[in-house]
Amino acid sequence: MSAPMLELRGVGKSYGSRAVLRDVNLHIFEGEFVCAVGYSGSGKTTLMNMIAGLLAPDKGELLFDGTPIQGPSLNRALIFQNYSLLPWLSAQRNVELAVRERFPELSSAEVREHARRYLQKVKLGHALDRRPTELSGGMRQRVSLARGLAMEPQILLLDEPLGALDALTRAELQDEFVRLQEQEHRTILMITNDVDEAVLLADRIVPLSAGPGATFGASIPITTSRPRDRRKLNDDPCYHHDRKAVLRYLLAHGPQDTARAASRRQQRSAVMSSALEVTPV
Amino acid sequence: MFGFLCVLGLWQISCHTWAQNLPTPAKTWEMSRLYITDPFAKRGEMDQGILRFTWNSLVLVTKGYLIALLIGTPLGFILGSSRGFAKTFDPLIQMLKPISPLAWLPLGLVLFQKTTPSAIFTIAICSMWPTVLNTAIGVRNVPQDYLNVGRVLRFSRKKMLFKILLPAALPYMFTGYRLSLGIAWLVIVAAEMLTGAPGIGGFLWQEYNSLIYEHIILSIITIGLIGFLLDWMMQAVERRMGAALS
Repeated sequence: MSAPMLELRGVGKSYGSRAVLRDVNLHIFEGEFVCAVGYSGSGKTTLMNMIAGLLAPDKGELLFDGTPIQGPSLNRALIFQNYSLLPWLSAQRNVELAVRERFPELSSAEVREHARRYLQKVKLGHALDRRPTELSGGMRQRVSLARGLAMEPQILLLDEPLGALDALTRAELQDEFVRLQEQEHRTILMITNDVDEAVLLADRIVPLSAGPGATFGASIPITTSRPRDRRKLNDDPCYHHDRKAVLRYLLAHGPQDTARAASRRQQRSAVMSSALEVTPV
Repeated sequence: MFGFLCVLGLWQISCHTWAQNLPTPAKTWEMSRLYITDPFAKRGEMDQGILRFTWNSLVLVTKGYLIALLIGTPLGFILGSSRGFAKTFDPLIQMLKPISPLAWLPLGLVLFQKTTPSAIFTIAICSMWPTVLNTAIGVRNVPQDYLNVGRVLRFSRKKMLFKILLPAALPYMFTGYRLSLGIAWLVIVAAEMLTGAPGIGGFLWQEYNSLIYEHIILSIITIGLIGFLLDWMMQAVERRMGAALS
C-alpha cells in the first residue's frame, strides 16, 4: 500500500484543563473501512470533528493526502450522529444541497438526478419529497447517509451514525452498510460504541481507551471473511476471536471507578506519560 | 358570546349608576349607525365612515410597520450573529424599547416638520423592537448542527445566511413581526390623537372634543376589532411558517 490517505500524529485536545484526547495516532489507507470503538464520553466526537476540520487540535497534526487539515473539505464528508438534516427541506433537497456544493458544474437537472440516484441506493426512492419530520429515525439517517455518499468524498466520516436508533432499526441499517460497502468500496472511518457493529462492518478496528485523556490502542485487523452475514457470524471462529480481542482491550482500558483503581491508573498514566513525554492529565 | 353579554350588561348598569356621562349601548348604536352602515362615506375631512377612517389609519400603520421590518430585521441579524455588537447595543435597545410613542412624536415633528412623516417615524421606531429582539434570538438559537452542515459543505457567508440562518430563524422572526404589528396598531391611535390626522385615532379625539361620547366607544370597539383581526392574520401566517419549518 502507498502513503496513508488519513494520518493522525500525536493528536491531543483539551477543553480547559480537561484533556479529552492525548497522543492519538492513526493511519487510514484508501479503500479501508476502519471502526474506532470506544466508551461514550471518550472524545470520539471530538476526534471526528477534528478530522472533519470543524475543530483544531491542541497538539500533533492531522494529515489528509499528505497535507495538514486546515478546515472542512468536501473530500471528507461527515455524517452526524443526530443526522443534522435541515428540517425545512425535503429529503431530496437536503441531498441536493450537498451535491450542488460538491459538483458546481452540474446542471439543476443533473443535480436532481444525482441526488435521487443516491437516495434510491439507500432505499428511499419512495420518500424523496418528505420532510425530515415526516421520516423515522432510521430513514433520517438514510437520508444523511445518502447526502454523504452523494458527495462522493475521498473519505466518509461516520460519527456514531446508528447511536440514536432502536436495536432493530440499527441492525437493519448495519446490514445496509454491509451491502453498500460491498457495492461502493469507500474509504470509511466510523466511530461507534458497539463492538459487534464494529466487527460486522470493519476491516480494522482501533479501540479507544476510556477518557479523560483517551488514546488509541494498537489496531486489530478483522479477519472475519466477507461477505459478512450476521446470521452466519456466530458459526465463524474468526468472528469470535476478533470480538474477544477488541473487548479485551476495552475492558483493560475502561473507566475505573474504585479509588484504588483510580490511584493505580494515575500511577500508570504518569509512567506512561513520562515515557511518551506528554503532559499528564 | 356570554362574555360579550356580561360586558354589555355591566355597561348598561354603569350608565344608570356611577357613570352618568357614559352613553348607553342603545344610544351608542343609534349614534353610530350612520358610520357603520355607510362605512366608506366621506362627508367631510373629519366626518367619514368608520372603515374609511380605519383604512386611513391602516395605510399609515403599514408604512411605519414596513420601515420597522426593513430596519429591524437586518439589525436583529447583526445583533444575533455578533456577540460584540450585541454587548454594545443591547443596553441601548433595552433603553429605547420602553419609550412611549407620546415621547417620540414631538421629536418626529421636530425632525420632519410635517405630521404624517412624524407619525410614520413614531410607529416605526416604537414597533421595531420586537422584530429586532426576536430576530436576534432566532439567529442566536440556530442549532449548531445546522451551522455545522453549512461549515462541512464549505458554504460562503452569503449561502450560510440564506440557506441556513434565515430559514432556521424564520419562525422567531415571524413572532417578532406579529408583536411589532400589534405595537404599530397601538401607536397609531396615540399618533393620530396628537397630530389630528383623519384616522380612527384622530376621529376618537375629535369626537371627544365635540362631546359626542358615543363615537368614542365606537372607535374603541373598532380599534379592538381591527387589532384582533391583524393579530389573528399574523398568527395564521406564523403557524404556517412554524409548520413548514419544524
